[in-house]
Amino acid sequence: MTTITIPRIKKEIPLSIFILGIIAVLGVYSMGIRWVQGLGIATNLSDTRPWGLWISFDLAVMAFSGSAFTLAALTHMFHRYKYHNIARIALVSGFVGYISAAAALTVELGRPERLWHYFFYWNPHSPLFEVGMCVITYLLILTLEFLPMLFEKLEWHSAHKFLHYFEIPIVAAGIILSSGHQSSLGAISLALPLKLHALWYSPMLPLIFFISAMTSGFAMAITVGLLGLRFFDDWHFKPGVFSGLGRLLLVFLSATLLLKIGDLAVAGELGLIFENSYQSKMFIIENLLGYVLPIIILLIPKYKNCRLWIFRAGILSVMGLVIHRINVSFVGLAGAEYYPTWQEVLSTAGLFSIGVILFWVVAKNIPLMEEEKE
Amino acid sequence: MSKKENNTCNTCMSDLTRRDFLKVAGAITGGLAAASAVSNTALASSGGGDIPLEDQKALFYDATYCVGCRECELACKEDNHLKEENVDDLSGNTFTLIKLYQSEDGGESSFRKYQCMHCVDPACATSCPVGALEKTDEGPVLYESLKCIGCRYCMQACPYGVPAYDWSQAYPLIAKCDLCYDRHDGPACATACSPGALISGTRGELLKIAKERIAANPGKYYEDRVFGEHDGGGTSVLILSAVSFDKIGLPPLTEKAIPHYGETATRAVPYIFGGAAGFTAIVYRATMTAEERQRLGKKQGKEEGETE
Repeated sequence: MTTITIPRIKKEIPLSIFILGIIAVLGVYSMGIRWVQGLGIATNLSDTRPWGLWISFDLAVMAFSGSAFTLAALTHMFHRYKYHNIARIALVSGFVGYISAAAALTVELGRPERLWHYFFYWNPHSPLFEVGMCVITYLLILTLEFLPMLFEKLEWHSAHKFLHYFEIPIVAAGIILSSGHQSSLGAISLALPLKLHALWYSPMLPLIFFISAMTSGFAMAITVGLLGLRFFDDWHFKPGVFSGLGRLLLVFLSATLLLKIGDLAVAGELGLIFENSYQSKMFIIENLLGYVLPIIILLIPKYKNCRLWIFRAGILSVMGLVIHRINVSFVGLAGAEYYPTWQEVLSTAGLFSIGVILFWVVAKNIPLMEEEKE
Repeated sequence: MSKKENNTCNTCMSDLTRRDFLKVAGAITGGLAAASAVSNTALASSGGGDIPLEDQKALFYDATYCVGCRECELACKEDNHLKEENVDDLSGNTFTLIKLYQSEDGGESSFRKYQCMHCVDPACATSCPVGALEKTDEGPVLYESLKCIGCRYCMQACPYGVPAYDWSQAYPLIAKCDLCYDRHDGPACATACSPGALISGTRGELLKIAKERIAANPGKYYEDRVFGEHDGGGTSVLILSAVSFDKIGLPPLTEKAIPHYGETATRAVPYIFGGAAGFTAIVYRATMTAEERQRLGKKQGKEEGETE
């Protein structure tokens, strides 16, 4: 793969992408119901249950998009260049992730057309303000990180060179902004001491969110990288990349689990895990499935260097993260009984599908793999 | 694996220079300065306005005087031009509501007036990302509908469940009591109350009246204390009740205001940015020595045992 191929908008679309396309169309239809008929009809939200599945989606997708900064830090700050190709993939998936999270705001917000108010009306007290500002700035940074790939493709060498000069400060700024906003996502829930179940409420929430975002960053890089190897012929990674990521995932999974359980132990609330309520069951599922199980897999010497098992551990960690964010955003929150409507589920699935399709289009048309001189 | 392969990205990493490090340092200093500036404003501007707390507008509700005539509800609807509706909770068209609590054996009962409590340190105002909710110097917490983006963080953060949406609309806004900010003779509900259960005035004089009632009738009121004097950092709506506060739907708040639960996190912001920046810079510098590279090269060689 040394030559740059002409954009291949091919007739052949894989079945999986075709199915995702159908889900995307249905998703946009469900979003249309919200735009035309309103939140009351499209959702099961109410005054005592103002946040639901869409918030979980935002929280989870933003955590996965943490793969962009985590891998960028690993490659460019820790100088682990063997991760360079996977860092480029993580960058694109993070970029796409933030875009679909922003798209979710168009249904989630009551007044999506006023999103620009963020620039004009500041409230620095609000963790949500901090999240918004960091995300907006970080999107700009991500664009600056992504553009060189586009310029490579378009062969705009001078523009590429110009941006390349600033690569290191851009990457550094991205890491700093991400650290700020991943932790302030956790700080949002600090204002809910009476509503959020003690299994999740903790003054450590910002740190838990930050570390679990990095964890899911590695998990996402593993799953996207290994899935992509099946779909894209030109993808190739250095040997040892995935077992390296697996080891990092193991370290971060253990750190997150230790922090969560340790925090409960310090607060003397370990007993809550066994109270056999809806919340405690969800907590057990979250941590057993999403943390303990992948940790065990990654500890087994036979499996820890096997790509298939690393992939399984990655998928489990991704699920653990999703369940954690669902738990924090509605399962563990006091309020009216809530289950998402089909419109909420479909639009969430649709937004996810749009993200994947967007990623597929980018990966098909822009060479994500850095040329290698073997 | 050869050392050459370490530098996969030839264009990026072939010439790591001191200049790169300076660039990192520059980015970091800039980010840090901005972060601490923002967080300093955040902390400096928290706290009361020009009018002392005891002189701010307030409302006092004595549940033992309330007969449940609901004249206050009607007056509120009229004054705020709100639609008539039959609801169980505060809503986009109901800013105040009288509810009846009755124990199962029927031995104990009390009315409770639901409305915005106009907290001294309101969680809604702190949480709103665009500052659409504001604690005024005069006391009332006001909502500026033109700023609102509809994120519903205020509804989530309010411990009293006050901010409400009109869910039937496609592009709804928040609605809540504004303590009749524009009226000169006090809130409409208080003017309409004939049994004297609802009195408007300054917070200082109302607190005095409430405490006099407690002193005159020892044991009559729950815990012999005024709800809102200190609860959740204090409120501008003070409540006296004969039955326990949680039975009439008042949340079990400590004296700590909700915004203070996140205070450590807010204070930590510049340190998070600074920590991330410093860590990044140190790591960047520390991991790029020739020795480190060689060590990395060896390490990479070991990992080749990966199976498919």
